[in-house]
Amino acid sequence: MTNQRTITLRLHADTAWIRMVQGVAEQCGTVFGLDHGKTLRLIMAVEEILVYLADLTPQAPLELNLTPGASHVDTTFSFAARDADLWAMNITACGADCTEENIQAMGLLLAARMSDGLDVRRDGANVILRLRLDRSYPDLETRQSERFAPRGEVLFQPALDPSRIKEACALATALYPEAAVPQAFRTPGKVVDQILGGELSGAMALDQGGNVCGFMTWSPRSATSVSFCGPYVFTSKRTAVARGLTEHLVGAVARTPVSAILSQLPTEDLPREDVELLGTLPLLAADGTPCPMPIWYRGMREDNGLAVWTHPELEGFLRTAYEQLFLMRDIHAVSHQGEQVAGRSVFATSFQPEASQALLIPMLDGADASGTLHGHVQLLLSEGYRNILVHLDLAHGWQAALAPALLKNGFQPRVLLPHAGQADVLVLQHAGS
Amino acid sequence: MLDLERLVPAHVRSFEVYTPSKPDQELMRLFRVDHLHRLNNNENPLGPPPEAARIVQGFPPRLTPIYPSGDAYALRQILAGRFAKSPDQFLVGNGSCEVISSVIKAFCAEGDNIVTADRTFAVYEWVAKFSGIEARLTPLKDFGFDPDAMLAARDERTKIVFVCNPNNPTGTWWDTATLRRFLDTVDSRQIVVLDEAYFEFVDQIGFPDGMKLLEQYPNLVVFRTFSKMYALAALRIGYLCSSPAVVDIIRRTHVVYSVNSLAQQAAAAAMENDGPFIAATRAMVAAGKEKVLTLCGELGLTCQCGEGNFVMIRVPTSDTLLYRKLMAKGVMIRTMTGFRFPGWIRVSLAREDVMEEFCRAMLGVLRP
Repeated sequence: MTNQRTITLRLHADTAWIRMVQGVAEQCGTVFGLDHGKTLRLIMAVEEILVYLADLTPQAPLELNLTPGASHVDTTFSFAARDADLWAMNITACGADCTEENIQAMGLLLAARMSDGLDVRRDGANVILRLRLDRSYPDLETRQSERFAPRGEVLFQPALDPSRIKEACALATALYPEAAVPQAFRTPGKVVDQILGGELSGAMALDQGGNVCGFMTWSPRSATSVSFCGPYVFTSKRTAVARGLTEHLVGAVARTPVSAILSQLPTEDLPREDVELLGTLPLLAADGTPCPMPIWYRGMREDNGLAVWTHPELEGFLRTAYEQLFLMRDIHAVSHQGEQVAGRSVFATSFQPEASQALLIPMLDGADASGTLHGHVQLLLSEGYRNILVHLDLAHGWQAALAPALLKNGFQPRVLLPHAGQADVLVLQHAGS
Repeated sequence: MLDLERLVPAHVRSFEVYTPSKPDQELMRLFRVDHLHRLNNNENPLGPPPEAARIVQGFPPRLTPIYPSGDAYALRQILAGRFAKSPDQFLVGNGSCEVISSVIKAFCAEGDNIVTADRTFAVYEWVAKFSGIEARLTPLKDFGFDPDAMLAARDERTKIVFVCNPNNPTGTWWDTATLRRFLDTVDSRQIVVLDEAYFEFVDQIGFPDGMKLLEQYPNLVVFRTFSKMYALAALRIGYLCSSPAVVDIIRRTHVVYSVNSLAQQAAAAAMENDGPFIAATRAMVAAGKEKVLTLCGELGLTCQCGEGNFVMIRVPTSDTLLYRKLMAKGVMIRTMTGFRFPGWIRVSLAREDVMEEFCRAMLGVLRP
């Protein structure tokens, strides 16, 4: 349903509207709960994007929406654009070797740096550019905790009580390694807002004394999958609480369109007998220490096959992965038959600075894909990112066809994520990052 | 521009689309097997009864341009004779899903609710939800319907209580005394639907016959089907029986002409001489249960083995992974995660050779 609080402007891509757009952004930032600093960043980001679009698609019809989320403000620009125009949406379009031709992309780069998240989606001829500004929340005060013995029977229920959610965040942060706990847990107010606002779901274990014995969260990953963090167990009886939390998650999504549950940040408490290991990403922490990330999967229904695309160079990896997982797929090989590839390639970039991680998502194919990827890798390495990942949605042949460009640039296939996109998603990782 | 968000009610937008399984040939191709034993839908592989089979084989093409009897007139006469009722007490539908829908439409309006169990045949809950009606679900107790919890879940807006006896998928059942106590407490304040889809499989002293309770409880509605014991699932035909007044109300919301002529004739024929067929099927089911229980003992697995032509097994792995591994051996079972029994599978009981193959497949997967 359309958010009733969304503010919509329909205008043309023209710098003449800058002051109006700035004014709307300022008002929305204040009304939607951003602090002064974040509001200023929102104002500057929307200005940069408008300038950028005025250059990219001069005078084209444009829709600007500002929507309050549970813990953030979303700003989206919707417009129509030709494929060739979109190249400037690469975050590298104005890198170290920025030319006069590409100077327009500087606005996008600046907007990305001023926001807490920027991504670009393409829906047919329309492009949606989304900018996210998070509300500010006070940091959690660090504390020491020890696991305790539960008082009486432990029961499991949806996490809805703000006090207990905050307590759970504090306990998880105190009892688990930093890499296993979502960044948001360090600002528990944000988690409360996300859960009560419906952006995040949670399960909580409570004993008869009302003590928080465990916590687990999950959120949508695609139309048919969710990803979870946890289970976080705060009692000495870890196995039973972990199992109860996991079963609560499974029960909560059992009669929904969700086909797959995938781990985002799993803990050692996750009951292994009911999940399948997809693989382990050899990630590095921001300080360079190894931080391997296992990825777990649980199918939610009978999987009777999908059709996926692959490039011959990745076919071996995929066939082995599917065989190991007993997943039946019609694997169609993409091939280049001499046809011209129109336009230039575009990759959206999503950053997780706290995990030193950058994720590239293909938006458009192009003959220059290899060079574009090279630019991304160089830029991200120079920015200090230790983990550079690419997600290929195997529902799309053109994404599978990017394999040679990815392999040439040092990416290696790591893990297959069933149902994580429109079809399965293949995760590739830059070996040198 | 088509604005589906404005046109479609919220309860329909949020509803999960049911995705039926693919045809056998397609599944066999995908899983690279040359055969497929379907042990997922509680079908009766012995059927249909010979009398019904003859009807199916001999259905004359000259009848295909002619509409069926819109209210299954002849079949209702036969049902009336069989159960010593009036034909007006029967309503025939396109499978039980249609009669469930008719009952809910007949009695429930916006703001009303139904009560049933959280781990039972999902269609009561589904139909209620996509009709915009609240489904109140009470937990099972020891794998069975909990009468006290169901009674407590009612309020002044509760219109229907659904009881599945024996319960699918757990096979648990209420005896006559339990059912009578429940009906006495309800005291006609709600419609009580007693779904006896698996009635013909039960040969237990103390198992209630809903048909015999109808005269005393005018709010009772009994569901039966030709899909399970009578093996006419492909023809989609089931029926309900209740007091004439209740059936008269339900008939108002029921689609006429929804049951085709072939189904009506085959169903009538199936009841002509069903004794030997039912006995043979019960023997097959009993032998199948023995095999599964032996397998579970060998593998150290918990088995929930009640009435009906199915059993549930607790498996030491994800049920959905086990499904894929068994499919790769040509055996199709039902995963129970969707029934909110994660880590369980349900297995339909079939002929001896098929059950042996199922056991071999389970041993191969769980004890390679």
